[in-house]
Amino acid sequence: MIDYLANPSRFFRITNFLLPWLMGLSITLTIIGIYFALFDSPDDLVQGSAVRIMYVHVPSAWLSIFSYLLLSICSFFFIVWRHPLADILSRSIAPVGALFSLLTLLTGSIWGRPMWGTWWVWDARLTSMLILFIFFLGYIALSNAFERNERGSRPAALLAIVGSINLPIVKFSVDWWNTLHQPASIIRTGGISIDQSMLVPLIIMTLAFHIFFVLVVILRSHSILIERKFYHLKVLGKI
Amino acid sequence: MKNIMSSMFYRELKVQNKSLKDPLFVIGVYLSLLLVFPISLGPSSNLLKSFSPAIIWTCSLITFLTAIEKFFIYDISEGYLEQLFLSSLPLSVIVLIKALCHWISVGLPLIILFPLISIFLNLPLNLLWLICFSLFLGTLSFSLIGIMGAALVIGAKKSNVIVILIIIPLTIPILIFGISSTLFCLEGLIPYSTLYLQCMSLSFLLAISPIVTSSAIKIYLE
Repeated sequence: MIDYLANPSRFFRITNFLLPWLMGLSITLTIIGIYFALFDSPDDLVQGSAVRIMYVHVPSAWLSIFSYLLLSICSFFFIVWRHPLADILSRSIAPVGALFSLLTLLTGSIWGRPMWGTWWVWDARLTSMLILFIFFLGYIALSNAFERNERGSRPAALLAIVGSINLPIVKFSVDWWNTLHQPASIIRTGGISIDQSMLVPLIIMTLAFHIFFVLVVILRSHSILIERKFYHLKVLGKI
Repeated sequence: MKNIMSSMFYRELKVQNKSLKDPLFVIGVYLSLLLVFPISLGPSSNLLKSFSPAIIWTCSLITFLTAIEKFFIYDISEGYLEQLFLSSLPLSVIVLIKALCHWISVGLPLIILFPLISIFLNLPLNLLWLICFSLFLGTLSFSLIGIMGAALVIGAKKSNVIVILIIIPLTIPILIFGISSTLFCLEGLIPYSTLYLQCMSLSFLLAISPIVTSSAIKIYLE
């Protein structure tokens, strides 16, 4: 299955077929989700309309964690089987993931200003999201740090794998550090049962974000593939 | 086998400490970093005392970051890495020897110096040896993380900037555990739990760092 899909020209064919569908789906879902989130969902009793930030914040947080997971899986495939497509995919995932974790931080702090009264708290969740963002930055920096671009792929893949081991440790140690030193802060963990009127737009937005992510990753990997083809033809002297 | 290991150990120590100046430079870096804190926080000794775990660990982290180039800088310029790859020892053992020597040339001076530092920061003297022990665990972990980062960026442009970006997030758990055990010590408690956590992270790093580093070196040599 993976071998079948991993052929670059076949990847091109399949994804070219998928692209218009994904594009249409993500646009429709985003429009429906935004409509529901902004107009057709109730205000929160305490938070008022500020709760609507959640419909952007929570999907992007899930997406950034999902994209790091995907990045480390692709890196693992690249380290073990050395298939160039895995490298291209992880190179295209990293900036998108970085942007979504940045979006999570930004929307979170916009929400935090009226709710918590501060833009930023050194709380477990916020800190681990910031660390995730720095991991993405490190991956991007390392993978583009070499004279010949492809030379950076394998060190960066190693870094992504090491980072994925480190991520749960960071999460737990920060949690632990937090309970030791800081007074309990307002963390909205799961277990809060969301009403259906809020859950539906949230799920729609999450789907829309994930489809958008897949779309952007496919587009980026197409451009990287074409760039590499061009580079190799140039090296061979055919252009 | 043992002969090769010991000669490699001596070679590594000699390369990383060309003369007595090198450990003195490490101490100089640490002391100059330490100087920044009383100046920026003000000379009030109470404030300094409550910030002292953060000061101790931040200064040691930055000292280690400045010493990262010691790992491979001579090896790359002299073609020594190829020889290491061809030697009869497995590459991961060589990596462990390198990390240990790095700790001896950077971490050991800090720990020997530590009683002096504790005077500067007005620390209580009764649990000093425990702080030294947690510093030992932490700085050895810094060396093991540092060698991973240094091996990953061999041959990169602007490697000394990128190495900082990729190392600091990896050191965060170690900083957290180290700072909390130092805090416990300052309150006069024996920090069993955090010391165990420090030992855990150190043994984890002892397991993965040689593997990652040696595969990064192999990538460089290909």
